[in-house]
Amino acid sequence: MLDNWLPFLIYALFALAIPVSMVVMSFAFAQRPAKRTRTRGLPFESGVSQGPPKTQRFTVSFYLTAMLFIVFDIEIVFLYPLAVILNELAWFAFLELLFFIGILVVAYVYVWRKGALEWQ
Amino acid sequence: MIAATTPKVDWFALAPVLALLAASGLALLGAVLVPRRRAHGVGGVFAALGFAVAFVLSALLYVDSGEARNVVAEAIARDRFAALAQLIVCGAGLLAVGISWSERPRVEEHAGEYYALLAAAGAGMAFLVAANNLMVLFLALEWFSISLYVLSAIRADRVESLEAGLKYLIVGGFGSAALLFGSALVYGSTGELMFGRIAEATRAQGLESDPLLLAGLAMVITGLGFKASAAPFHMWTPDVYDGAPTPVTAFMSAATKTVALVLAMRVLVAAFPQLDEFWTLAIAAIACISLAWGNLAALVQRNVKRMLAYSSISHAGFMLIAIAANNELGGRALLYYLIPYSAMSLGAFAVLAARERELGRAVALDDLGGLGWERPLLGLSLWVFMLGFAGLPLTGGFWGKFLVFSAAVERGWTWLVIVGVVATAVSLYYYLSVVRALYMRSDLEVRLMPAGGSPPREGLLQAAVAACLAVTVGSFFAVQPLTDLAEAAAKQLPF
Amino acid sequence: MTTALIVLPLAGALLVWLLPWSRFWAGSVALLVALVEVGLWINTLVGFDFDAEGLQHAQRVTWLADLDVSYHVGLFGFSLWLAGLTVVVMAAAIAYAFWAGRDRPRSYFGLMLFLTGAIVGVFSAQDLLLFYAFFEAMLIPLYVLVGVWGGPGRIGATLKFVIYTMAGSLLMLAAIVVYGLSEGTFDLVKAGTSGSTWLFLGFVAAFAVKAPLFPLHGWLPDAYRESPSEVSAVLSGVVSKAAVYGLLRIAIAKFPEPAQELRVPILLLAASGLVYGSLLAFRATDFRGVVAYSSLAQMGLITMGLFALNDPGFDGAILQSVAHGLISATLFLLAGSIERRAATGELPRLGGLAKGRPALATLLMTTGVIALAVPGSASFAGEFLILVGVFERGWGWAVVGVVAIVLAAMYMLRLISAVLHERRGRAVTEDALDLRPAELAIVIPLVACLLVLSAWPAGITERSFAGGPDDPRAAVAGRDDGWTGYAPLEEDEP
Repeated sequence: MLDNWLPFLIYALFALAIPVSMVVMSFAFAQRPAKRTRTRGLPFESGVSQGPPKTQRFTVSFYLTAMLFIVFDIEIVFLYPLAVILNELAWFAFLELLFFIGILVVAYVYVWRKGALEWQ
Repeated sequence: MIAATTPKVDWFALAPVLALLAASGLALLGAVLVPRRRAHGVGGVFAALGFAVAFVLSALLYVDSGEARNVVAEAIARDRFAALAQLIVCGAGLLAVGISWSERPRVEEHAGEYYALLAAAGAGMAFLVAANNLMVLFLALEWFSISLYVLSAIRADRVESLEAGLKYLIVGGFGSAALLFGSALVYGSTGELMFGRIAEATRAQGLESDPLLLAGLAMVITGLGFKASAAPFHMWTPDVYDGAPTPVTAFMSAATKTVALVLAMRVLVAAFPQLDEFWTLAIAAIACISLAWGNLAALVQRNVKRMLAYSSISHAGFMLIAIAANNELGGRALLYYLIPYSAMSLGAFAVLAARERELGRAVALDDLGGLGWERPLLGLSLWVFMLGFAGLPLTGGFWGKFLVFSAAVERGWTWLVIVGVVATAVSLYYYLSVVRALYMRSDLEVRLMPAGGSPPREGLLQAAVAACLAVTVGSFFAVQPLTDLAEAAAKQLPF
Repeated sequence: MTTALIVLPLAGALLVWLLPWSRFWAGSVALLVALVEVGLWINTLVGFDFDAEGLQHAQRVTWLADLDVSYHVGLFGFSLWLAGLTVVVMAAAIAYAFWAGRDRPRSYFGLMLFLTGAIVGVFSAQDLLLFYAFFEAMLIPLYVLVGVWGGPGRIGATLKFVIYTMAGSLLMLAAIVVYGLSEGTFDLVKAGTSGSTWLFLGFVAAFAVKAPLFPLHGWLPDAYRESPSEVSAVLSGVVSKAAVYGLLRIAIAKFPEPAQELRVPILLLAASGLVYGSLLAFRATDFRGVVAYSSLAQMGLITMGLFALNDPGFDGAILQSVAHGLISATLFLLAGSIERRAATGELPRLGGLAKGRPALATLLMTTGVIALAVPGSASFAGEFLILVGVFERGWGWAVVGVVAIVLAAMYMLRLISAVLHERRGRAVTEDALDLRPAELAIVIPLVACLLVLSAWPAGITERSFAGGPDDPRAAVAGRDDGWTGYAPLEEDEP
């Protein structure tokens, strides 16, 4: 009975402990004015800056490219383990691989033709 | 050296999914490789072809699967239960393409993507109903869900559409997380992923009252409840149904509900037969809450799409009664119910789509005034769909409710029948208010309606509505052959 | 044959709906179909063997084999009479609508024909689900007929009507499911009897709303007032008789024990409905109100006859059903004609219509006199049999019945004098014409049927119940606590 619950309990404890410790530590270690100044009323009060200056912006293309990179990168990562055991898996793996790459190619063509790779 | 065994792939069992996937890919390529003004046509044709081919393949699969078996490393169930659900999904998809066709000017910009996503969602759904292990279940669920999230938000020029997409994403993500966590707990408890083996392990290891397994089962039910939009997991439904483009709503209401309920029945019956004391009661409770909440909330809606959304929640309640019955009659009832229900739901939203286009705004109940006389086919069809939702004879809705009630009685739960009967009585009020708006406004009131101009040409939409009408009425008379199909399918589940 | 009776009007409805008839042709085709239907019924009547036990002209086609649901239709003596009432009244109603020139003729006549088919279906269904399907199918055209073509208060009237009716029918559906599954069949002929009080009440709820039985009559005044007059005629004349058939064929025949046990409360309700309806009819201020509440009273009386649970009660109930159906249909059609002439049905504004309008006066007078059960009339025979039936259950019931008949005379005579005699009402103009030939051609056949029945009530009473295991009389015979009628008990044989 307890054996079954133990991992669950540990999991729950972690799930609870992380956010709680974050809140508690921000109270414990943060140096902040004792008085209720404007800065203290801000939602995230680390006492330093409030994020990057408002004049500085990233272009949208950056996010788009970054996202595309992550998607294709992760997908390509799957090819490595397959390459290692290609001999054992033989034709099965080869067909699966083609299938997988086929889907990637469709996506790639779409992204390319859609102009998502152009830096604007 | 790694000892690797490769599973034998039963391509035929996967054929409907692959056909839809191919259609999706072709439509997507069509979106970028053909001139933009052709993209809509190309995408639509590919999606329609995909659904049609998948429909035929599922029919062949149904005929060929007289004996249920698990294929592809037992990850996929090849049986009539899955094939019949695939037939419903593909039929719904085909009709949804027909309904979407007239939306052309509105989705022009994303036409190819729209159809690609529709086909992809269909593929995910066809995959889901055949799932035979928890991983395939989750994969397929996310597959079609993500497609639907984007579809809901595809009209990016409308803030409602974006809101619908966002809400669906967040709440759907929550549901998926619950399902995933539940699956993890089930796996942790039994050490198995395949549905059948979970049941074996539960019996062999005596896990009937294992709290971990129970918690996992509860979370799996919760996750599927979100997808089936059963109360109390329904809060996304009205907003998403309302905000999403109406053809998407039509497809979602018919196909998502179908696959979520069919899969719920498969999981519960195949994987958790030892815990049936628990889950039948849980499902019955969810069914009652859905019936109560859906019907009461629908009473006060003025926006017809929102009203239909609440009505779909109450119908989820009805179908959950069939699952809660946990007998073969229940399986038959569920599969039969889904056929007229999908047709009525698709058809009703199709009529709304047509009206929306005429008026250029969301359709309130008053906006239906005089539609019955102006557009006889659409009006008559909407009337029949409403009667069907209410379970009146001459529509398949009647047999659906009757079979569901019969299943509950066979289980010995007459009280569920009483709940269902009361819910039906309440539902009449709002279904009839639609009919009232359609036909019974005085001429004076109707004349004050904004003139819609000449009705747009929308042959495919009308054909789709007519097909839905034919299925709704036909399933009343042809109840024997349809329940025979459903029976052969339900028999293959281990009740 | 029975199937033909059901399918002919349904096919006619499709024909009228789908083809682009003009107003004249839509009406003509509908009337033609209705008349052919009457002919078909007469043909059935001629070939009917009233002495044979069991179903006649039966047809059975399996519909859903797993649960033993079938399309099973057939006629008993009493269902033949009720079906005959239906086809005659519907033909008159369609002819009247044709004459009155309703808007959107194709929809209207299609719905009327559809309604005909559904009602005949109700009277011949021998399978519980088929019965339910027809019972509900009846509601759909009625809902539209009242809701689209009705008077100014039609929306509220239809809503009440449908919610009341459906609440009752859904309870019946639940009862049907439970009963059918426990019997293993939904076939009325195959299914045995049951002793469950709850199931009995489920069925009675539906029929009590449809009849209506006091205190479930809330929908009645509005629905009867707001409908087009020929729809009111159908509602009170024919549709209410579906309840009689249902009580007789299902509630009493299949649940004899609960029927016996709950006899007294049901008789009490019926008797209160009888007296209450009569009093309201006496107080009603408009023509239709009088007829509507008299319908409530008459249905109470018929229900008393049924729940006397003996032969004279049953015979009287059937005779009275047919007689009342013809009477109230005639009265509602006349009400429609008068409203067309005076633009109102308010009794204080009517009066003096007899002067210079002999046809109207004669017809209204004849029907009214038959309605108040003057000796020698069909309803006298019916009411007398019912009183004999309930007398066997205690003289008190018969006293209530007699009081109500006195009340009937009061309200009917008040109606006749308020409409025909007294000083000329403000709404009655000099140039309001007598009944036109077309109206006469519609109403006279109904009155003629009533006169024939008055002359020969035994034509129905001796030809309704032929005995046999399916006969409702068989279900109550032998369970009785006394005299059971003219048929000797089988138990008496050694």
